[in-house]
Amino acid sequence: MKWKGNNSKCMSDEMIQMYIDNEIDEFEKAGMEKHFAECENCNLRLYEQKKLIFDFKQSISLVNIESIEIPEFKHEKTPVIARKKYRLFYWKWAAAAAILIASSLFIYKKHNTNIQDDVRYIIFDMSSEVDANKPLHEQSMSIYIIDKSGKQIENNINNL
Amino acid sequence: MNNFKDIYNTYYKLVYRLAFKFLGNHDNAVDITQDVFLHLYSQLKLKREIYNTKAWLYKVTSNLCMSFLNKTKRITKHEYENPAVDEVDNEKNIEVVEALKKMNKRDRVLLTLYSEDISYKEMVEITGIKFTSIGKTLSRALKKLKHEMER
Repeated sequence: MKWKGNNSKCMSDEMIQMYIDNEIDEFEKAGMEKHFAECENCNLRLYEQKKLIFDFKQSISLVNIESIEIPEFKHEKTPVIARKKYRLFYWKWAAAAAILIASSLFIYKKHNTNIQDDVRYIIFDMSSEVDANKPLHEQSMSIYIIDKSGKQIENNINNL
Repeated sequence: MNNFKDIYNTYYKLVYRLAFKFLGNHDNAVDITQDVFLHLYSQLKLKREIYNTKAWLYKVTSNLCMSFLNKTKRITKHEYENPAVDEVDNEKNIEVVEALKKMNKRDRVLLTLYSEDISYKEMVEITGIKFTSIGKTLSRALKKLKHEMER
Protein backbone atom coordinates (compact mmCIF):
# COMPACT_ATOMS: atom_id res chain seq x y z
CA MET A 1 0.00 0.00 0.00
CA LYS A 2 1.58 3.20 -1.14
CA TRP A 3 -0.28 6.40 -0.52
CA LYS A 4 2.42 8.67 -1.67
CA GLY A 5 1.13 8.75 -5.22
CA ASN A 6 -2.41 9.66 -4.30
CA ASN A 7 -1.70 12.62 -2.18
CA SER A 8 1.65 14.37 -1.96
CA LYS A 9 0.92 15.39 1.61
CA CYS A 10 0.44 11.79 2.81
CA MET A 11 3.19 10.24 4.84
CA SER A 12 5.52 7.48 3.77
CA ASP A 13 5.95 4.42 5.98
CA GLU A 14 9.42 5.65 6.77
CA MET A 15 8.15 8.95 8.12
CA ILE A 16 5.53 7.24 10.23
CA GLN A 17 8.13 4.92 11.69
CA MET A 18 10.40 7.83 12.49
CA TYR A 19 7.49 9.77 13.96
CA ILE A 20 6.70 6.92 16.34
CA ASP A 21 10.33 6.59 17.35
CA ASN A 22 10.56 10.32 17.89
CA GLU A 23 13.47 10.69 15.49
CA ILE A 24 12.33 13.76 13.51
CA ASP A 25 12.74 17.42 14.32
CA GLU A 26 10.05 19.54 15.94
CA PHE A 27 9.08 21.43 12.83
CA GLU A 28 8.36 18.30 10.81
CA LYS A 29 6.62 16.75 13.76
CA ALA A 30 4.17 19.63 13.99
CA GLY A 31 3.40 19.34 10.30
CA MET A 32 2.79 15.62 10.61
CA GLU A 33 0.51 15.96 13.59
CA LYS A 34 -1.54 18.43 11.65
CA HIS A 35 -1.75 16.01 8.76
CA PHE A 36 -2.72 13.08 10.96
CA ALA A 37 -5.63 15.12 12.29
CA GLU A 38 -6.88 15.70 8.75
CA CYS A 39 -6.08 12.48 6.90
CA GLU A 40 -7.93 9.37 7.96
CA ASN A 41 -5.78 7.02 5.93
CA CYS A 42 -2.56 8.19 7.47
CA ASN A 43 -4.10 8.07 10.90
CA LEU A 44 -5.07 4.45 10.32
CA ARG A 45 -1.60 3.61 9.11
CA LEU A 46 -0.09 5.31 12.13
CA TYR A 47 -2.29 3.19 14.33
CA GLU A 48 -1.35 -0.01 12.49
CA GLN A 49 2.34 0.71 12.66
CA LYS A 50 2.09 1.51 16.35
CA LYS A 51 0.33 -1.79 16.92
CA LEU A 52 3.00 -3.60 14.93
CA ILE A 53 5.73 -2.10 17.05
CA PHE A 54 3.84 -2.76 20.27
CA ASP A 55 3.29 -6.40 19.35
CA PHE A 56 6.92 -6.83 18.41
CA LYS A 57 8.23 -5.28 21.60
CA GLN A 58 5.84 -7.22 23.74
CA SER A 59 6.59 -10.55 22.15
CA ILE A 60 10.34 -10.01 22.30
CA SER A 61 10.08 -9.07 25.97
CA LEU A 62 9.21 -12.72 26.52
CA VAL A 63 12.91 -13.35 26.26
CA ASN A 64 13.33 -13.89 29.94
CA ILE A 65 16.89 -13.90 31.13
CA GLU A 66 16.43 -13.38 34.82
CA SER A 67 17.12 -17.03 35.47
CA ILE A 68 20.52 -16.79 33.80
CA GLU A 69 23.38 -17.10 36.22
CA ILE A 70 26.41 -14.94 35.73
CA PRO A 71 29.33 -17.34 35.41
CA GLU A 72 32.73 -16.48 36.75
CA PHE A 73 34.87 -14.79 34.18
CA LYS A 74 37.77 -16.81 32.88
CA HIS A 75 40.33 -14.81 31.02
CA GLU A 76 41.96 -17.70 29.27
CA LYS A 77 42.33 -17.53 25.60
CA THR A 78 39.94 -19.52 23.54
CA PRO A 79 41.53 -22.54 21.90
CA VAL A 80 43.11 -21.79 18.60
CA ILE A 81 41.07 -23.05 15.71
CA ALA A 82 43.03 -24.91 13.06
CA ARG A 83 43.72 -23.08 9.87
CA LYS A 84 42.21 -23.97 6.58
CA LYS A 85 42.83 -27.49 5.44
CA TYR A 86 44.79 -26.88 2.29
CA ARG A 87 47.44 -24.91 4.12
CA LEU A 88 47.90 -27.67 6.62
CA PHE A 89 48.25 -30.09 3.74
CA TYR A 90 51.09 -28.10 2.20
CA TRP A 91 52.92 -27.80 5.46
CA LYS A 92 52.66 -31.48 6.08
CA TRP A 93 54.23 -32.36 2.77
CA ALA A 94 56.91 -29.71 3.10
CA ALA A 95 57.85 -30.98 6.54
CA ALA A 96 57.93 -34.58 5.36
CA ALA A 97 60.15 -33.69 2.41
CA ALA A 98 62.50 -31.67 4.59
CA ILE A 99 62.85 -34.49 7.09
CA LEU A 100 63.44 -37.02 4.34
CA ILE A 101 66.17 -34.93 2.70
CA ALA A 102 67.86 -34.11 5.98
CA SER A 103 67.90 -37.69 7.19
CA SER A 104 69.14 -39.09 3.89
CA LEU A 105 71.94 -36.51 3.78
CA PHE A 106 72.89 -37.36 7.34
CA ILE A 107 73.02 -41.08 6.68
CA TYR A 108 74.93 -40.61 3.44
CA LYS A 109 77.53 -38.41 5.08
CA LYS A 110 77.96 -40.73 8.03
CA HIS A 111 78.40 -43.70 5.73
CA ASN A 112 81.12 -41.91 3.76
CA THR A 113 83.02 -40.59 6.73
CA ASN A 114 83.04 -44.00 8.37
CA ILE A 115 85.20 -45.43 5.66
CA GLN A 116 87.50 -42.45 5.50
CA ASP A 117 87.98 -42.22 9.23
CA ASP A 118 88.67 -45.86 9.86
CA VAL A 119 90.93 -46.60 6.98
CA ARG A 120 93.78 -44.22 6.77
CA TYR A 121 96.60 -46.03 5.09
CA ILE A 122 96.67 -48.74 2.63
CA ILE A 123 100.16 -50.04 2.21
CA PHE A 124 101.13 -52.13 -0.72
CA ASP A 125 104.09 -54.34 0.07
CA MET A 126 106.15 -54.40 -3.05
CA SER A 127 109.14 -56.21 -1.52
CA SER A 128 108.53 -59.36 -3.47
CA GLU A 129 109.34 -59.04 -7.07
CA VAL A 130 106.58 -58.93 -9.51
CA ASP A 131 107.21 -60.86 -12.60
CA ALA A 132 104.59 -60.20 -15.16
CA ASN A 133 105.69 -63.13 -17.21
CA LYS A 134 104.75 -65.64 -14.52
CA PRO A 135 101.27 -67.07 -14.55
CA LEU A 136 98.76 -65.32 -12.27
CA HIS A 137 98.50 -67.96 -9.56
CA GLU A 138 102.24 -67.89 -8.90
CA GLN A 139 102.40 -64.17 -8.26
CA SER A 140 102.06 -62.74 -4.79
CA MET A 141 101.18 -59.31 -3.36
CA SER A 142 100.36 -58.29 0.19
CA ILE A 143 98.09 -55.42 1.24
CA TYR A 144 98.07 -54.01 4.79
CA ILE A 145 95.17 -51.93 5.83
CA ILE A 146 96.01 -49.81 8.87
CA ASP A 147 93.61 -47.51 10.70
CA LYS A 148 94.23 -44.12 12.40
CA SER A 149 95.83 -45.46 15.55
CA GLY A 150 98.13 -47.77 13.68
CA LYS A 151 96.22 -50.97 14.24
CA GLN A 152 96.06 -53.40 11.48
CA ILE A 153 92.47 -53.98 10.49
CA GLU A 154 92.81 -56.71 7.97
CA ASN A 155 95.46 -59.28 7.47
CA ASN A 156 97.58 -59.18 4.43
CA ILE A 157 95.98 -60.81 1.54
CA ASN A 158 98.30 -63.15 -0.23
CA ASN A 159 97.96 -64.71 -3.57
CA LEU A 160 95.35 -62.57 -5.06
CA MET B 1 40.83 -4.65 37.30
CA ASN B 2 38.06 -3.88 39.78
CA ASN B 3 36.58 -1.74 37.08
CA PHE B 4 36.28 -4.75 34.84
CA LYS B 5 34.52 -6.84 37.46
CA ASP B 6 31.91 -4.15 37.96
CA ILE B 7 31.29 -3.90 34.24
CA TYR B 8 31.11 -7.65 33.97
CA ASN B 9 28.52 -8.02 36.68
CA THR B 10 26.34 -5.12 35.60
CA TYR B 11 26.34 -5.74 31.87
CA TYR B 12 26.54 -9.51 31.64
CA LYS B 13 22.80 -9.98 31.36
CA LEU B 14 22.44 -7.16 28.88
CA VAL B 15 25.04 -8.63 26.56
CA TYR B 16 23.61 -12.09 26.97
CA ARG B 17 20.10 -10.87 26.14
CA LEU B 18 21.31 -9.16 23.00
CA ALA B 19 23.27 -12.20 21.91
CA PHE B 20 20.32 -14.46 22.60
CA LYS B 21 18.03 -12.30 20.48
CA PHE B 22 20.59 -12.39 17.70
CA LEU B 23 21.28 -16.09 17.73
CA GLY B 24 18.22 -17.61 19.38
CA ASN B 25 20.31 -20.21 21.11
CA HIS B 26 21.41 -20.31 24.72
CA ASP B 27 24.77 -22.02 24.25
CA ASN B 28 25.88 -19.79 21.41
CA ALA B 29 24.76 -16.71 23.31
CA VAL B 30 26.85 -17.72 26.32
CA ASP B 31 29.86 -18.27 24.08
CA ILE B 32 29.47 -14.90 22.40
CA THR B 33 29.03 -13.17 25.74
CA GLN B 34 32.24 -14.73 26.99
CA ASP B 35 34.02 -13.57 23.84
CA VAL B 36 32.73 -10.02 24.24
CA PHE B 37 34.02 -9.74 27.78
CA LEU B 38 37.28 -11.36 26.82
CA HIS B 39 37.64 -8.64 24.24
CA LEU B 40 36.84 -6.00 26.83
CA TYR B 41 39.32 -7.53 29.24
CA SER B 42 42.15 -7.39 26.74
CA GLN B 43 41.26 -3.81 25.84
CA LEU B 44 41.35 -2.75 29.47
CA LYS B 45 44.57 -4.62 30.02
CA LEU B 46 46.17 -2.64 27.20
CA LYS B 47 44.87 0.48 28.96
CA ARG B 48 42.77 1.57 26.04
CA GLU B 49 39.99 3.88 27.08
CA ILE B 50 36.42 3.06 26.31
CA TYR B 51 34.26 6.13 26.61
CA ASN B 52 30.79 4.71 26.34
CA THR B 53 30.88 1.21 27.73
CA LYS B 54 27.30 0.33 26.93
CA ALA B 55 27.51 1.43 23.31
CA TRP B 56 30.87 -0.32 22.96
CA LEU B 57 29.39 -3.55 24.30
CA TYR B 58 26.43 -3.30 21.92
CA LYS B 59 28.74 -2.76 19.02
CA VAL B 60 31.11 -5.59 19.82
CA THR B 61 28.27 -7.97 20.56
CA SER B 62 26.49 -7.27 17.31
CA ASN B 63 29.73 -7.53 15.34
CA LEU B 64 30.66 -10.83 16.93
CA CYS B 65 27.17 -12.19 16.37
CA MET B 66 27.30 -11.12 12.73
CA SER B 67 30.60 -12.85 12.16
CA PHE B 68 29.30 -15.88 14.00
CA LEU B 69 26.27 -15.98 11.70
CA ASN B 70 28.54 -15.69 8.69
CA LYS B 71 30.64 -18.58 9.89
CA THR B 72 27.75 -20.90 10.64
CA LYS B 73 25.58 -19.93 7.71
CA ARG B 74 25.58 -23.35 6.15
CA ILE B 75 25.10 -25.19 9.41
CA THR B 76 22.07 -23.21 10.50
CA LYS B 77 20.47 -23.57 7.10
CA HIS B 78 20.87 -27.29 7.45
CA GLU B 79 19.32 -27.14 10.88
CA TYR B 80 16.11 -25.64 9.52
CA GLU B 81 15.76 -28.46 7.10
CA ASN B 82 16.00 -30.98 9.87
CA PRO B 83 12.63 -31.09 11.65
CA ALA B 84 13.90 -33.30 14.46
CA VAL B 85 16.09 -30.53 15.79
CA ASP B 86 13.24 -28.02 15.74
CA GLU B 87 10.83 -30.21 17.61
CA VAL B 88 13.11 -30.66 20.56
CA ASP B 89 13.85 -26.98 20.96
CA ASN B 90 10.37 -25.71 20.21
CA GLU B 91 9.13 -25.58 23.75
CA LYS B 92 11.94 -23.41 24.98
CA ASN B 93 12.12 -21.09 22.03
CA ILE B 94 10.12 -17.96 21.63
CA GLU B 95 8.13 -17.37 18.50
CA VAL B 96 9.65 -14.00 17.64
CA VAL B 97 13.20 -15.20 18.04
CA GLU B 98 12.44 -18.11 15.73
CA ALA B 99 10.92 -15.73 13.18
CA LEU B 100 13.92 -13.44 13.46
CA LYS B 101 16.15 -16.35 12.56
CA LYS B 102 14.53 -16.59 9.16
CA MET B 103 15.04 -12.97 8.24
CA ASN B 104 18.03 -11.48 6.52
CA LYS B 105 20.97 -10.31 8.56
CA ARG B 106 20.45 -6.57 8.25
CA ASP B 107 16.81 -6.69 9.34
CA ARG B 108 17.71 -9.04 12.13
CA VAL B 109 20.35 -6.72 13.52
CA LEU B 110 18.16 -3.65 13.25
CA LEU B 111 15.16 -5.28 14.89
CA THR B 112 17.25 -6.69 17.69
CA LEU B 113 18.76 -3.31 18.42
CA TYR B 114 15.34 -1.71 18.08
CA SER B 115 13.94 -4.01 20.71
CA GLU B 116 16.61 -2.75 23.09
CA ASP B 117 15.29 0.82 22.71
CA ILE B 118 18.43 2.08 21.06
CA SER B 119 18.26 5.44 19.31
CA TYR B 120 18.74 5.72 15.55
CA LYS B 121 21.99 7.57 16.06
CA GLU B 122 23.48 4.68 18.00
CA MET B 123 22.16 2.21 15.45
CA VAL B 124 24.11 4.09 12.80
CA GLU B 125 27.26 3.76 14.88
CA ILE B 126 26.73 0.11 15.58
CA THR B 127 25.58 -1.18 12.22
CA GLY B 128 26.94 1.37 9.77
CA ILE B 129 23.60 1.68 8.01
CA LYS B 130 22.79 5.20 6.84
CA PHE B 131 20.65 7.30 9.15
CA THR B 132 18.19 8.10 6.39
CA SER B 133 17.48 4.47 5.58
CA ILE B 134 16.98 3.21 9.11
CA GLY B 135 13.34 4.30 9.36
CA LYS B 136 12.52 2.73 6.03
CA THR B 137 14.33 -0.50 6.80
CA LEU B 138 12.71 -0.78 10.19
CA SER B 139 9.17 -0.29 8.97
CA ARG B 140 9.70 -2.88 6.25
CA ALA B 141 11.41 -5.30 8.60
CA LEU B 142 8.53 -5.08 11.08
CA LYS B 143 6.06 -5.93 8.35
CA LYS B 144 8.20 -8.80 7.15
CA LEU B 145 8.46 -10.11 10.68
CA LYS B 146 4.71 -10.07 11.14
CA HIS B 147 4.32 -11.91 7.87
CA GLU B 148 6.89 -14.44 8.99
CA MET B 149 5.16 -15.01 12.30
CA GLU B 150 1.76 -15.51 10.75
CA ARG B 151 3.05 -18.16 8.46
